[in-house]
Amino acid sequence: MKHINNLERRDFLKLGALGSLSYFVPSFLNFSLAQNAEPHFFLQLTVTAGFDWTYLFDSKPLEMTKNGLQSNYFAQEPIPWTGANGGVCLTSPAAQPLKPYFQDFSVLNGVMMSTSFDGHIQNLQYLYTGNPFGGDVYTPHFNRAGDTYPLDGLQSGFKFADAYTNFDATIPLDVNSAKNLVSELKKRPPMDPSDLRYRYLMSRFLANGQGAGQFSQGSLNMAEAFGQSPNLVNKLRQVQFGENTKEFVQVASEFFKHGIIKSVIIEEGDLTIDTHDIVNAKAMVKTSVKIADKIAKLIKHLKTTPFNDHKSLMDVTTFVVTSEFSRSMRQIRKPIDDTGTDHNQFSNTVLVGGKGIKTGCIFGASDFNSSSEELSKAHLSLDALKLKAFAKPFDHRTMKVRQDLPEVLDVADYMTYSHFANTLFKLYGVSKDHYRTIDRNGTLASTLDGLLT
Amino acid sequence: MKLKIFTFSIFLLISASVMAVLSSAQFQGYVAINNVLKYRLFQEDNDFNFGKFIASDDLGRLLGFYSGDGNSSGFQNGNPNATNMAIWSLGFSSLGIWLAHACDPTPFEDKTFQQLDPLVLQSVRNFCQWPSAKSRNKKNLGQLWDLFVNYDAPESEYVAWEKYMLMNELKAKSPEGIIEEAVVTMLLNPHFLLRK
Repeated sequence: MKHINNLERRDFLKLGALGSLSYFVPSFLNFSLAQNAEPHFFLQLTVTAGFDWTYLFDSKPLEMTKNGLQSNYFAQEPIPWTGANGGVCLTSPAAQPLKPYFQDFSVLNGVMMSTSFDGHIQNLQYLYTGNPFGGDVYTPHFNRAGDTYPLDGLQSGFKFADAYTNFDATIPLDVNSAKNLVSELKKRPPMDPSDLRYRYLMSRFLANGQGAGQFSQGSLNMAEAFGQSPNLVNKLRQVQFGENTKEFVQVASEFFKHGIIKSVIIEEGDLTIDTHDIVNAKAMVKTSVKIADKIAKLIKHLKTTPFNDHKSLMDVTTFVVTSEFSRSMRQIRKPIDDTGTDHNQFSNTVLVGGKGIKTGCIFGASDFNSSSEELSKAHLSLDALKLKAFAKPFDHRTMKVRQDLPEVLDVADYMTYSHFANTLFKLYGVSKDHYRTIDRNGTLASTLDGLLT
Repeated sequence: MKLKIFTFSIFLLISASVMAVLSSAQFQGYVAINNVLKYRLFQEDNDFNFGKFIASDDLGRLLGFYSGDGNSSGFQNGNPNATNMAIWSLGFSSLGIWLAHACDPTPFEDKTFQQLDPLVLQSVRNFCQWPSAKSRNKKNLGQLWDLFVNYDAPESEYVAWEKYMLMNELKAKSPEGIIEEAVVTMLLNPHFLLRK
């Protein structure tokens, strides 16, 4: 609900008084502000339930499996990839079909999530809001004042977390619902703010918004939302779905093209990746291939779908693939060839590509890359049993992995998701008022400028 | 101890921000409004489902609904946004067009339509001669309002609505058009849709 911030509440109350006297509502209530010239969309695929990134882009040497430290049901030596920036990561067999697309994205390994909590909800909320307890999701902030997208975004999924405070204009809409809605709206005339009915209804919302209580605020919210409806309805009426529109990402693309949304979050929760149990842990050999296939299809879709005569969707979209956390290397008291894995919020992986992103690179790393590696005291303070890989310290300015071994945990030493989110904020020109902090003193997480073109 | 105080402070901070968001009334939601219409406009044991009028049952989830999946639960999508306002508008418009079959010269062969409360049906039929004075009068408008909106809204809302419906500009509407107009403008009202 970005627009209401542009108008003081007292302005709305004045308009309410006006509305109670007249049906003639000022045209600026339609919020038809100038569209920013260059479109820049955002698409995020979140593989929910905690994806084990050792099965794609943060694999560990087979030697560690032989020494009982890292479960690996592929039982194959991982394959090193080297990025254009000289960064290196080990990849699993499942990642290899993504090699042809490596120039389209960068890999961020050793991304620290919430240090204090290891639950799904807590880390999803940390991912989206910067706080394990929830708050403002970062994607609606991409839809800045000045844009005329009637909705912040579309979402698919969101089964786990709901403590979001700015998500009213990011709506869940599946393929069939979107098709039906567009079809029905096309049967109606365009929505016209100068229409008598529109003005009457707006006058009632405003007239009832003059009190100080919850009801009045709700009525004002209806006025604001109704003010945006013509823009939405008339853009939806232009959407053309084909018989081949069967995937959510196709709906999202159409909504991008018609200027309806700025962002999309797809939560992929169909596959059993929360592999505490041994059966699903062993099935990661197949599950990771399916996840890689979904990522490949997503990138291919962005590259091959035209946005206009000159640009593909990839040219105008930044995309992110991640999970709320990765997974532990093994479980305690389980044999290495018969173990599940638990949550590991200390070292996640993010894939990022598209508009404004330096691609083909590998930034950051997790530790514990050999059975003889010395682990930092900071690591051991939170993982005394050595069950989890930990992010390596990171120089945010040079974008290089640091080789020192911190004695105490200070999140400023690492690349956290908050650093990444602030980088996206910078990319989208979001006000620093929304930047995430990394400590209780309100220190802003620095941006990863070397990730941006 | 310091960590506990910090955690508690964070909790209070978040609670405060969540409360700030919740300090405006949300929609009653899809199920609540469906039930109001079902019991207010129809005879007992009817098949009414508002989902039929909003293109898809699934879209009802965008109008405010309770969800729970074992991990979390709560009232979702209850705050007004451009989408749910458009869907309410679409739904009430479709309902109005459907009710306008009351003016069909032959009985409308629709099971749910035939389950309409006779008084509701008659109050809708009162508008079949619009804009003649027999239809376009305060008595008919008052009867329709009382059946649809009932005591949900204060009298001032009725007064505003009556004034609107009697505007000269609406004289040109067909009977079907005025029924649709009446239904949309009665029901797309904060007193009908919002929690109080």
